Amino acid sequence: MPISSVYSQDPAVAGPLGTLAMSRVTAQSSTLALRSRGWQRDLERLGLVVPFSFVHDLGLLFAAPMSQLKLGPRCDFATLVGADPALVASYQSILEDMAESDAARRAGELKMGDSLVVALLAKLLGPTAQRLTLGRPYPVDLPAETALFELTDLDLAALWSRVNDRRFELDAMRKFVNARLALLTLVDALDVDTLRLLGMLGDPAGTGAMAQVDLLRALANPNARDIVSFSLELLPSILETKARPGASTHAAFGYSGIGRRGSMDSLVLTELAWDKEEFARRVVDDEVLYYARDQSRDQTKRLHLLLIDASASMRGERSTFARGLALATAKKLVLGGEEVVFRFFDSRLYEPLRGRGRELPTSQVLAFRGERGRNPVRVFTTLASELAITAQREGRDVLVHLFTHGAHDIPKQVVSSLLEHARLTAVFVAPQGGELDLDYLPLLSGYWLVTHETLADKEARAEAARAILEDEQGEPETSRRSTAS
Amino acid sequence: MIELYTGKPQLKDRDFDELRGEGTGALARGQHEEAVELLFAALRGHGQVREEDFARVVGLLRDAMVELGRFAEAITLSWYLGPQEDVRAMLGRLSPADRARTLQWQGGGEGPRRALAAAEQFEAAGQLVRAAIAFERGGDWERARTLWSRLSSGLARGPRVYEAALAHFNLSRSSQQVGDGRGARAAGIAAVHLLEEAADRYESGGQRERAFDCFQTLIAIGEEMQVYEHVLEGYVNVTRILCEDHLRGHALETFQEAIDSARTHGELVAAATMAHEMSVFARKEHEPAVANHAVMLEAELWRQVAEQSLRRGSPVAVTEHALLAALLSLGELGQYRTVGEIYQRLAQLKLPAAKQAHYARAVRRYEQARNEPVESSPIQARLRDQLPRFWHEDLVEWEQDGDAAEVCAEVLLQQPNELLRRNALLARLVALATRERPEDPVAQITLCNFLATLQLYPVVSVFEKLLTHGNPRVREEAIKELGNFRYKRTFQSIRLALEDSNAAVVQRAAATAAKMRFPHAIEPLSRLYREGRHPEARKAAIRALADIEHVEAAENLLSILSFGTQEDRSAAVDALKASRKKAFFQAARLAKNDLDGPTRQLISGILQHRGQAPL
Repeated sequence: MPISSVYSQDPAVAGPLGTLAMSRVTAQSSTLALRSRGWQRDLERLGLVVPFSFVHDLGLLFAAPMSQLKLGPRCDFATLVGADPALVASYQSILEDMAESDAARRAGELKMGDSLVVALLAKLLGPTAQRLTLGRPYPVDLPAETALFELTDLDLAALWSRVNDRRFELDAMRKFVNARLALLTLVDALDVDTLRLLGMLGDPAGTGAMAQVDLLRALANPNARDIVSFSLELLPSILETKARPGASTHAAFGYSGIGRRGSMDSLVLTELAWDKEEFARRVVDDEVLYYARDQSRDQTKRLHLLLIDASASMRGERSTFARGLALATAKKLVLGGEEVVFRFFDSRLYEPLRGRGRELPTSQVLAFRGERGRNPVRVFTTLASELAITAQREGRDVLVHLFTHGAHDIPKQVVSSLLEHARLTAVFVAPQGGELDLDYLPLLSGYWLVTHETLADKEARAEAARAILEDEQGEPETSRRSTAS
Repeated sequence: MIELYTGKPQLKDRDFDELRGEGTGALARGQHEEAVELLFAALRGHGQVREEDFARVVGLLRDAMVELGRFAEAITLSWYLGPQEDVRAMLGRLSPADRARTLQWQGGGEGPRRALAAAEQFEAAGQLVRAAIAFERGGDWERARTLWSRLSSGLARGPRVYEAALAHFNLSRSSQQVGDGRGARAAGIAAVHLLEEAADRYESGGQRERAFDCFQTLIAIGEEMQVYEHVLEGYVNVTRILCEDHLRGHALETFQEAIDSARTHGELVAAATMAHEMSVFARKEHEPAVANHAVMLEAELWRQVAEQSLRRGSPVAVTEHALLAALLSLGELGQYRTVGEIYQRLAQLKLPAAKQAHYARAVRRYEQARNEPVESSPIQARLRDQLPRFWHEDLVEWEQDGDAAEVCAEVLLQQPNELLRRNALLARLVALATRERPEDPVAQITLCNFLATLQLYPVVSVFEKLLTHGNPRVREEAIKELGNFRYKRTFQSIRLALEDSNAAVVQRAAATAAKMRFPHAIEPLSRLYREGRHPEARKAAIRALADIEHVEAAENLLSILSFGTQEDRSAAVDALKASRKKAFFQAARLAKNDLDGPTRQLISGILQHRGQAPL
């Protein structure tokens, strides 16, 4: 279908779209290709400016299985002004190698959302973008129309020629090809397990630059792989968790009725028939109807607060075990119909990170970086005050699960004050070994010490984690004071 | 006495030998005050003369002081001359503190015995910190512990949280020495809590340099208590602060030290992540060779993690991830042959078949690859025992309470630099004289002038005290001379002086702020700009930022030009026109697409003024 003249004469459209003359990946469905428009926009928000064809081609390789793509030229690039056929052939060769990578071959299984694709593209194209010296001579403003991705080779050639100066694209292609080994090293080393975990645990980070920044940081964190790997070790046993019967608002299994609490995905559709103002009033007055799920009856509004130490003392294996176990604990609790909130602390208590439904804020947990000192007195005193307010306003039963290191000393009176409003269990990670010598231990509902021996041995590690998970979910009366090593 | 030192300013311009000759003559005639006048002028006006000539005059001046019965001055002059001097006759005429110092100074081969004698004197003088330190040096840990215990209980009840922490740490150390493990642990834990609180308060209050001291002490506590979590906490935060303050050399040395420490303790993952951070920082600070070294180090550490995990029988995924992290680092530097070797290693691990096949395919890609030559420059870690012992020095400072004579005595006795010792000598003589005239502004101003020749950190505390003097002329002089002390701590005094009730002091404080043109002043200058109530202070901060060759200073100025008030923008334009630094223009060119029209015009105007092409 020929492109309309309005678009073909607009440099903000002709510019980027014309770069598809260099493209070597064609999506079977134009709807799939249209996603590249969003990726381009989001990458620019992150400060990365590369030719649109790079974003389109690489993005599709990782977003869709090869069965939905075709690798090969889209037009006779050799006939275009400034084109270097050898260069484009090298470019295609790189794409073919990328298509053979683990991440690309498993794209269909991974089903990455747009935010994750953008984070991947930023990781892969970032180094190339940094080496570009020429500026792009046109802005980018692609309309959201699938027809723009159904162009013929003649259309593409015409769009390419609409912009007189294509040095930016050609220079970028040269730099991309020159960085072949660097790119392929990055692609080969992509952490598919992290991508898989983000898919399995979900990520309510949503869209937008902040979500992508979190994902990028998660992917860049060298410890993330170990955290992910550990969580994945535990997930099979977590996913066997049986949901408790009873109508509730949590998303699991079938529907059991209609209620006034729930998430947007279980909204009774006739609610949308109300006009805007009326709908807003119904939301505010708690009159909106939701389908209630067949799961455990609402507990007495119990809240699990997973409190993770993000201070510098947690560097290394401590952080890996603590965050991996916290993610696994959270998933288990959520599947059991419990409400879970993550909070990190160093010298400050940070804002809560909440999931949405069954989704956990995985990328934020993987990427979070504190390390601005420590001040347990301040942190736990602040927490105690907040819990006191929560208890007064909401009457909630709160369980605090602390994940920290074995030398985390909190004054006893501070712990006692916290315990007036919540129960507290703790997992202490101590890769250097040793005994726990903390005078507040007797005040805890349960605690576990994980030492180096436990961390090193796969079976011992998994066994310890499972024991902790079982007890973390159990009623506090059944928890015990013990070590997991 | 102060008039003898400064009453005839014209004397110091006279010839050294003339002054010495006349001084000798006056001494021989018994005209001791005249002798002091002449000989002091000789020392003051001729700080560069040969040491033997200078020492001869010092000896003559000492003799004059003895005749005048000024024994504090006499012993000060003897300290300069060296421990071979026979000062027994003077000992009984000295204050307990000076007597203690003299005994320590004369230690020689009888070090511990002398140290204990000095300790008794310090304790008698009420200087418990110095007494405790001397007892430690003398090997009497029990008495040291008693004093530390007194100090820590006293300090714990007051607002001096940092000093309380230091006292508790010293209590912990001394308890350990006497075999009281429980007591050592309890004091150590108390010290950790107090340090954490102090560091948090200091950082929140913009005194990052004091927070730095807290974290340095935390490293020492961690090593003493053998709790590596404290050491990690200390190192990570120390390097963070150094990086944030752009103290490039110090930060890189500390990174290396932290990495070496982590390796020694078997914390290879922590070491690898620190090596990664070191490379990022080095690259940001335009040290590519050091960055490359850090990347290679990171790769090596990840490979060690992999081998360690194999030896321990850890899950194979841990080994795999460590090797992948290593190859990503190596890939950054184009070391593709080694990348291929690592893929080969990966392919041999007991991984699922699909992964093994994937790695085997990857190996083929690197068969013909080579390692690119890389310029790599290692950094020498600073030795921890070369660092100041904050837990002693900072407590001594607290105890000195800004007393000029005390501070100058310490400098004179410990400083190896000849010029600084000479300046400390003269400053102490003046300080002893001004003790007799604490309210006299002329005397105190003279003291400020002499102290300004000692541009050393301990002297800052003296100026901080002088800034509280009742006379505004003294305060003005103090804040003026503080402009020679290029420490972040100086900003505390600047902020205080900016709130002074006297306009001249405020104006002088602003002028001092404008002189603070060094990279680790960027953060306090930015804070001064943001929080400064006085337009003069804001202008001064802008002027100083314009003269710092650093991208962060440049970004601050861009922000002022884009979003500041009309007055601030004008100040920034004027400052940039007068500056010779290039960082701003480089930053402006990079950011030009994000700047609005009026800002671009302003910057273009500045560029044209400097003879450069507009944006």
